[in-house]
Amino acid sequence: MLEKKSSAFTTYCRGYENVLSNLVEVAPAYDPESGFSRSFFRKYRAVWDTGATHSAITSQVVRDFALRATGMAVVYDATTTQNVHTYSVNILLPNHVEFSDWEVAEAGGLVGDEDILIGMDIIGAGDFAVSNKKRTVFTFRYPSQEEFSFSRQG
Amino acid sequence: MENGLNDEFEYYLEHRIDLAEKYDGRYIVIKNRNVIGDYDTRRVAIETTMKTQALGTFLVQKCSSDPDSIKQRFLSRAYFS
Repeated sequence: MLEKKSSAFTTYCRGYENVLSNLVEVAPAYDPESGFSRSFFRKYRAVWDTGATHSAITSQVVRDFALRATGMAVVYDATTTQNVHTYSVNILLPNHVEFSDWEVAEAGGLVGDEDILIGMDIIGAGDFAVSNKKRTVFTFRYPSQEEFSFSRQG
Repeated sequence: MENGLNDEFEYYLEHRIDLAEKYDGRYIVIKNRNVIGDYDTRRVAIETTMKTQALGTFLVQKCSSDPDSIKQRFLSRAYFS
């Protein structure tokens, strides 16, 4: 379930990066229209991963909020297949777009120091681009607003 | 990782086709290998069931006959073992 306001953010990296990451906020699932205080959000570093069909959180985030599982999924990673618990959370992106009541799998960990993995369930809901002119820059907007192609530019 | 919902998920996997005939597209709530409710949305399923059941003791699953509906793939950054 998504809020329908349109918004974008751009993350400017210090140099060339081969991992796209920034800070997002996470809270246990709630209805944004309920008046619930946003003070319950915590900031985590997130990796934007187009190689993932879904988003995930680490076990550390589960422990931080004492989350209780609401579902399960069959998860395939690079080496294993297993059934893992899923949790309902709200994810607040830097553009203040909130993905609420979002189902995320619990990962034992991520390869880097991130605790959140933003997968194609979120990336695919909007427009996403990466450039590397002088440094790595990535940008995301939700909802998707146009079809673009570098090969069609003049 | 807690093991609480493994029985419920195994029940869903074993009966997915039959359940999809009755509940396709709906969010079903499974507890103790029984379907105890079905709802239009995931949020309503959780909020309604939480009135009588403790969170973490029931599984919410969108019912579908598509075998890919329960699969998630992480090709690079995540490990689950």
